[in-house]
Amino acid sequence: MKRRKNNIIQLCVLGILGAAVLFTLIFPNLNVHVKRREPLEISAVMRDVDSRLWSGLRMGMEQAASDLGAELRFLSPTSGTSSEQEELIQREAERGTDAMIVLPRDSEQLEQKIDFGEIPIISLESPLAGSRETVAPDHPQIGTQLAGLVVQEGAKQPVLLVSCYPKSSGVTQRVEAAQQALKKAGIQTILYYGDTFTQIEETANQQKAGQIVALDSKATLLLAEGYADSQSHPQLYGVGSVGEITTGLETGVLSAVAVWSEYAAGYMAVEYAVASAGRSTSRTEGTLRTSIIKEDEIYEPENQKLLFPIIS
Amino acid sequence: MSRKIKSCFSRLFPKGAQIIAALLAILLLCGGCSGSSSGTSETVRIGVALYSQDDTFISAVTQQMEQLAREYEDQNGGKINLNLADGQRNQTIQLEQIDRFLDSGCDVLCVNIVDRTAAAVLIDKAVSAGIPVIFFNRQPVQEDLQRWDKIYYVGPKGEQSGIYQGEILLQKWNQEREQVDRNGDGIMQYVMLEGEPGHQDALLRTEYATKPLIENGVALEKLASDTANWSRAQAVSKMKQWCQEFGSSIEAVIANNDDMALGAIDAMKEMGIDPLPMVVGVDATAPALEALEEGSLLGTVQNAPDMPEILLQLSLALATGQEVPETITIQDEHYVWLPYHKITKETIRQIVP
Repeated sequence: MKRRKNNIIQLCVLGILGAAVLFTLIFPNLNVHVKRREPLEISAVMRDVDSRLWSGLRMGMEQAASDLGAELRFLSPTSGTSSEQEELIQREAERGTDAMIVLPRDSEQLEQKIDFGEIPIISLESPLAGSRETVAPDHPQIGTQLAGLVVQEGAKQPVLLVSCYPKSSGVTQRVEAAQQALKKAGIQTILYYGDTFTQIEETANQQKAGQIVALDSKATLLLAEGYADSQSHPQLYGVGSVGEITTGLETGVLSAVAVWSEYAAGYMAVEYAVASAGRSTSRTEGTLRTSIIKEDEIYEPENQKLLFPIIS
Repeated sequence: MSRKIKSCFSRLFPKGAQIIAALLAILLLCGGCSGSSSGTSETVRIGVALYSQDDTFISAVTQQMEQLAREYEDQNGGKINLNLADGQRNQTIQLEQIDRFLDSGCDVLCVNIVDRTAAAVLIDKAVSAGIPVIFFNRQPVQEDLQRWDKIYYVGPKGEQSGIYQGEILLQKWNQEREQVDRNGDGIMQYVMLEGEPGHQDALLRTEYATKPLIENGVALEKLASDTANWSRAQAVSKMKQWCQEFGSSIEAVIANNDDMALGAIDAMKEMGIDPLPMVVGVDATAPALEALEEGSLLGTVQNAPDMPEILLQLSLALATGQEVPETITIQDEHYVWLPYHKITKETIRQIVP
């Protein structure tokens, strides 16, 4: 009787130990703490080292990353060249990342030279062949609207159109739309591609330009800062909501700017990246609304939201 | 006749069953250990919590850290992910961000704390999670740093920057007295633009900026001082008021940082004050260096140029459990003090290539 009892006890203990071993082998990661899900890694490759130019985008991206459990790696070419941006993208693709957001400097070059493989790509401003989505405002509309302001002023002198990104297809669409609209109104246009203020100023003086229209935020920033202390200068128009651009609008250096929510663009880009990587199904639909804001309209409530994004 | 007394275990389990039970127990232990291990990862995650991303100096530090992280990756392999969070000058928001960092698996925290007197709560969270913390630029109180041996502060000593500002003013006063002493009374009339109230650096710079002048016999008259919260825009507003009140009798503007110094210059230019009085700041930000070259800013103090590199190196060492590099000197178990550098138009090329 006693021996039988001992045998039963032995069997029970061995059985429990055996079951425990089996359980641990089948579910190795089960422990007291809930296993933390690895955040989705998204590489964001910008095109300029001057982070002011993409600060609004970054704020939106960081908020979305925080909301959706992603982590961001920001990279920007220190030399500000297309080839360096290409190297950064290639490097991230080779190292492996869950998704990539790219603000292309030279769309065509990237399409020809980069093999993104299976990595989902979201492009900003300009479409890239192979990208899952593009987040961009209506470029032709921007060019046409800015040209419309110039026409309203009754411009007689030539208009200088300026851009720092000749190879960005998105910016090119703006330039072409502005050129077309001004040509239709019988206004002569001069095109200048470059990224130094002194050259822009020199060209404007040589061509006796009455207005300068900057079609990207970097060119607009150059105008806002370059003409800040100038008593007289051509009438200036631009795009973007960088702090110094808003200051330029406030002080009257800039007559009007075309603005869209960079914060929303950044947020959407991360949303699409997370969805493309299969981690979420939520996405914001709709296009980025562009507004033309003049000097005396800065503090209208809707315009303030665009110029001064506030994060809750 | 001898009798072997068996233990309960021996009575219950004959020899064979004992061996099987022992083997199962060992297997269970090994299985448990492998089950609880999350495995090694080549990615180091650094949570960087900022008091405000609007601050030019802080923004520059984090940008440089990102750049250095990429260079480090290129040289050493692996990945370094910097997760930035803007505390928007709100400690409650920052604490929520810290919680998120800890939940998402950050290996180390770099914290530019909003409220330097509220570090204890943050530290307790980090201690519970076993995650080291490096405070930078905004110094918590000593007692809080001593709560755990994996809490560090990286930054310069605030008083030194104030002293350097005073030395820059002293040199100019001695060399070009007729030009800078506008009313010729032998007294330096100045205004002081202060940083955020209660901020360690603001208090120390305000206190020490005038010491070199006093110690060298320069008579001072403080026309006004007030906080502009490190902000260029607020400094513009404040300076405009002072310009209306004191006009060109202001002979020196001492600002706790470059943003405010530049704001003062903006205001004086707008008010038509020409020539400008002596203006000194701290941080050696890019816009300040431009103003220095242009001549509107008399001098600035470069704020710990090595800070981004030190923060990154220390973070990597703590995150990976390696020894702190010998290039980083830790004093009093918690402090990594960094030097300031005086910069004027004459010396700018020596310091900034």
